[in-house]
Amino acid sequence: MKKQAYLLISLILIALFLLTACGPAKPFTADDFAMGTVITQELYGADAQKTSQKVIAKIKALEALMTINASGGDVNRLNDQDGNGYVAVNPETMSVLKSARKISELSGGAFDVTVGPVVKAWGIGSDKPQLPPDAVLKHLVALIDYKDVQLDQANNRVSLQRPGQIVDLGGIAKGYAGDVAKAIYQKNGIQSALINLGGNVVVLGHKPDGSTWCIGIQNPRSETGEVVGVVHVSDQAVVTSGDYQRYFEKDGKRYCHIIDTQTGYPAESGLMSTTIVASSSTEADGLSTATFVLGLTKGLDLIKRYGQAEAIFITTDKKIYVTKGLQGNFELKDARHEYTYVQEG
Amino acid sequence: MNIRMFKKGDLILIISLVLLSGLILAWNTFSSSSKEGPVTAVITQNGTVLKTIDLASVKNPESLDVSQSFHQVILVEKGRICFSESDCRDKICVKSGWLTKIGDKAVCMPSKTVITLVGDHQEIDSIAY
Repeated sequence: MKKQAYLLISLILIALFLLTACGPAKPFTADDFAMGTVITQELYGADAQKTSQKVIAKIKALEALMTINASGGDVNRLNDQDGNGYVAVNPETMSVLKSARKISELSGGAFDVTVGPVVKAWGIGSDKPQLPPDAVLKHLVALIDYKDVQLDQANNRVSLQRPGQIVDLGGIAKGYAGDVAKAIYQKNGIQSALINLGGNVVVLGHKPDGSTWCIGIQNPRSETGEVVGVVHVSDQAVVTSGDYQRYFEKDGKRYCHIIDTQTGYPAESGLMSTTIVASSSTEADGLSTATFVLGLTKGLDLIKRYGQAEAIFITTDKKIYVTKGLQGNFELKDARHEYTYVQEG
Repeated sequence: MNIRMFKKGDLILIISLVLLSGLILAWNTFSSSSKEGPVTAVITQNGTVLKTIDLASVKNPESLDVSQSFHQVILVEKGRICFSESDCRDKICVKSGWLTKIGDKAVCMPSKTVITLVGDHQEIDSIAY
């Protein structure tokens, strides 16, 4: 009896020592540049550094396939063959185009990868942004139609129906890269990791101590790094679209980089930012753009119909709408009391 | 309650061990992380760490020339750091201003230079923007 009690107490003491003596596990972190943005990774566990390097190499390969800023990739070859028949593409390009198609159909074309000609005409985020003439925009808007991207999935071939059309995966490729990164973490035995691709955050699992990841939501009207709230997530993507990321100003008016596919002008739907929380980073990326274009009411409706995402919408009159499934995991951090928190029913 | 289960020596040992673990716990909780804990600035260029600086231990303001493809200067003072000069196009790095708290970050895309403030007690893991 005495011996057993002694043993028990010794064990408790050893456990206590182990708990107190070890500090929190430190992640391996890395900053890299790809897809025209900064990519930050935070990985816990063995092989963290090696795995992070694999992820960056993979993302650079995806970038080469999907960019329209350098020649030779799948998307540029497709754009070069506009109105000229099928082009063979990598299965991964096909996969992104398929996801894009799904979100386009669901959003009635509010998200549409054939927005390319209009994006090019504005040049927002490039050296020479400009306000294109009305007539030019009208002509270019007529070229936007996701149904003109024909997917021959059996043979991994894609065609672009009409001359002049341009596919631009800028609104979904980073999302896809996030999903790919998560798969690479899992394949390499990592159980806990975070990747931030220029504002698209994807987390794998929980943090090593079992707690959820705290992802800040950028305050759309403050300096970078200031948040309006925090969402607690595990195994999910948190993707934001906003009017503050890339824009240019002319005659005192702000033109943001997200184009309304109906008008050809930057979206002005009464939203400053939309954040989507979902398990698919690819689809969350498309949905954040679509809801930003659609505005509050139609955006909330889209999220409902999609059925596998939660959302945070911030309106230009400074109200923060949070969908029901996220309310328990959302924390308002509005230091200057600028915003009104609205719990969506 | 049968305290006689243990010899006197056992009790002393147990009590001292409990006290010791309590002390270690207290040390871990209060020493390294009172409020936010020490803030370290990490400067990377193209993914490679150029320099790490414990911001609390900076005595005199110091300018670091990190020029490579661009002329670029980082200014460090006690408890804060910023990009002070850069001849890149948009100067988003300079406009980011002073970084003071854990999790703050300034990025210069053209020169691929990043300043990140890290520490043990980070309230937010990452920011969606």
